[in-house]
Amino acid sequence: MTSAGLRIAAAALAAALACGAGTAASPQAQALPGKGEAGPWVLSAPPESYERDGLFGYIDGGAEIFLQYRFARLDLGRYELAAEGTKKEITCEIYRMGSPLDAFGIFSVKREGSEGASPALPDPNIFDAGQASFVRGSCYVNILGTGTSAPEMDGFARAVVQRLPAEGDDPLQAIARLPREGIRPRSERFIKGELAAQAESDLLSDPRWKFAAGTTAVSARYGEPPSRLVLMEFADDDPERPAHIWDLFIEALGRAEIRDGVVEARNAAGSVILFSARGRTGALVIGRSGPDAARRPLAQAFR
Amino acid sequence: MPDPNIFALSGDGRPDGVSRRDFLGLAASGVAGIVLGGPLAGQEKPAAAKSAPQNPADIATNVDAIRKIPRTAASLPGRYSGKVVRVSTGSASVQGKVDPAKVKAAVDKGMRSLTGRANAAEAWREFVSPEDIIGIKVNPISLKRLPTRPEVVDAILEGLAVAGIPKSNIIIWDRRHFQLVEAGYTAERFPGIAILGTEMKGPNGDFYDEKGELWAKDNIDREAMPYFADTEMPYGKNILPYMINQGKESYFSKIVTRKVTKIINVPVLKNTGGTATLCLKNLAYGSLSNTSRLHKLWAKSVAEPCAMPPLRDKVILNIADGLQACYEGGPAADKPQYFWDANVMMFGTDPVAVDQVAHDIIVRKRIEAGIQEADNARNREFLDIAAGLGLGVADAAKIHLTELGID
Repeated sequence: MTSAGLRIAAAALAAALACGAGTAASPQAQALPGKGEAGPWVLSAPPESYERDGLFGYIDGGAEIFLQYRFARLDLGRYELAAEGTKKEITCEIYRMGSPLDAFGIFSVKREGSEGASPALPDPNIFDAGQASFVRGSCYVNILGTGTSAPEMDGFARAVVQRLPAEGDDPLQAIARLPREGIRPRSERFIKGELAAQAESDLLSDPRWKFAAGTTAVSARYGEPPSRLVLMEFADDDPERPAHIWDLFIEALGRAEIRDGVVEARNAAGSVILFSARGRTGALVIGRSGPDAARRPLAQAFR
Repeated sequence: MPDPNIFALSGDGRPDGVSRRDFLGLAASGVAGIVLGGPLAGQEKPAAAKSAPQNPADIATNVDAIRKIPRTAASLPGRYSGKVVRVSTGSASVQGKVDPAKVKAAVDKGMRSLTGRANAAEAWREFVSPEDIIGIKVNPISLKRLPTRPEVVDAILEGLAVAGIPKSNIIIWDRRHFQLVEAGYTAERFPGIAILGTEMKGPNGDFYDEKGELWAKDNIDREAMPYFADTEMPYGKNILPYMINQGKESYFSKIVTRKVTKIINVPVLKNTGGTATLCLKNLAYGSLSNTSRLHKLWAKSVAEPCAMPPLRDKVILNIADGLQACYEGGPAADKPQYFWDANVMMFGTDPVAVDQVAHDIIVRKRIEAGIQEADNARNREFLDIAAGLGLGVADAAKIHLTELGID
């Protein structure tokens, strides 16, 4: 390396340390495009990285749910166009999670289901002129653009995809056990931890579901108006589980009954809420189309 | 007259190289956290003991010391404990486009009903006098999408004017100056009124001065009693400008400790997960530094700071803006599909009672929309904590709710 190169490298290191960047370049940090690697976009500041505690500072109040999906590290790059005088900016966040399924999980609870998607990015993804989000290996990637066009976001997102390895198991295997008939596209979620459970339904925030103890779930929406099916894998065997859930429905909704092993209740808005369990597997349906429609996904869940 | 030297605002207050979306991510991601995890607060313990989850209930605070601070005649819940006036504003908001005349009518009616006075001037004079320095605490966290509507502040300013308060004695404030500007609170829009944020840039256009110190470091009051919570987290150089200090203390802004003598709290009707956080959260998190760590003890940290003198003894009114509201995606309000023209405003001196009424509105809407199945008492724990601190009435059965319309 030339002396000029050494000076540049030293300056870059000093700048990185000054901004709180991590001390070691992670694989996902290397996925942040450098100059000339994502068209005209150049880093406007040294890359930043955050580990567990630092994430609380970066995401003001929103870090806990990432931790429940076994967040390991965030690498972040802020970009601007090489040409001066534009207001266009891109922020690229690459979150390393515990596994590809964890990465899908955090992606899935952050999407609404109504967003656009791009066939050019890994499936599933969220894509429009201002945002591109997707899962690649154990990484959840979230790219935010200000003033950007769809082609610009597409070009940048593709550059990141090319630089991230597609490692590990296919996370979509986990949601394959959801019944496909009537499923609303892009509504599937992988639920892990109390916060994601609460985001799915406030009913699931109750400790009797044991999400803090290891219960996980996959969920999806069905039909119109949408009913929700939550397929749970419980942390333990509990033959009394239907009785516990019956208690919960009584407390939360006022009335509940058990018919043919199915706990059934209605809420103030007329939604039908059903729960059934077989061993460590349970299914919760929150239906907005009456009891018959609500029982359909429940029956399919155990088929 | 507000001292302009303490808060030397410059530019839009946004740090160099950080986009608007980043700010959405920063401020509003709290949002995501709150929406997703929200009133339950977090479960993780920072640096000192990463392996052991920290139960929010076990995080000690200085609440015992707070309880011992003698109350004053001005302490919350103020003149009208447990009383809430809910004014239906008809068509004042149509898809978020606000009719100022209807807002003005709603404010006048709400103030007259709250106080029982014959006219608005008398109603306002019950709370303020010309020697007061009035701080209007707005909520601009959602920027242009769903902030405290400037038209509501216009109506309040008219009320203060008829009560004889000079413009020079009025401050519109929040913690982040750039959010005030983005939400429409500019000197051009409100001539003669000071627009102040605790977190701000200096004359060099940066958050840091040439010595690497935050320009805003002197905007927090280290001499006033801080809110202590036995938890902390490190902030990097990029985050610190929005927290101002690290450690186990959160300090009050000098805006509340030194600049204003009375506070009119003007929050927005938005959900936070399965509840609504209007008055208490707008005050506590809007006034303190080092808030990110406080999400771990969310319910306590929303309620307990409001029992400290800078807030407890200065807040005179809560006027909640529910012209347009959101029942999901709050408090960042980044999901417009969940906005609705609620067309309601609420008035009270008791922030707990107003928040309880708002909680009921939001939960009912969420249940109707199929977002939530039932009310969950855990989500409103902060209201019970606040009531236990003597800040107001959280029991819906004991709230005296007056419902009016403007037509």
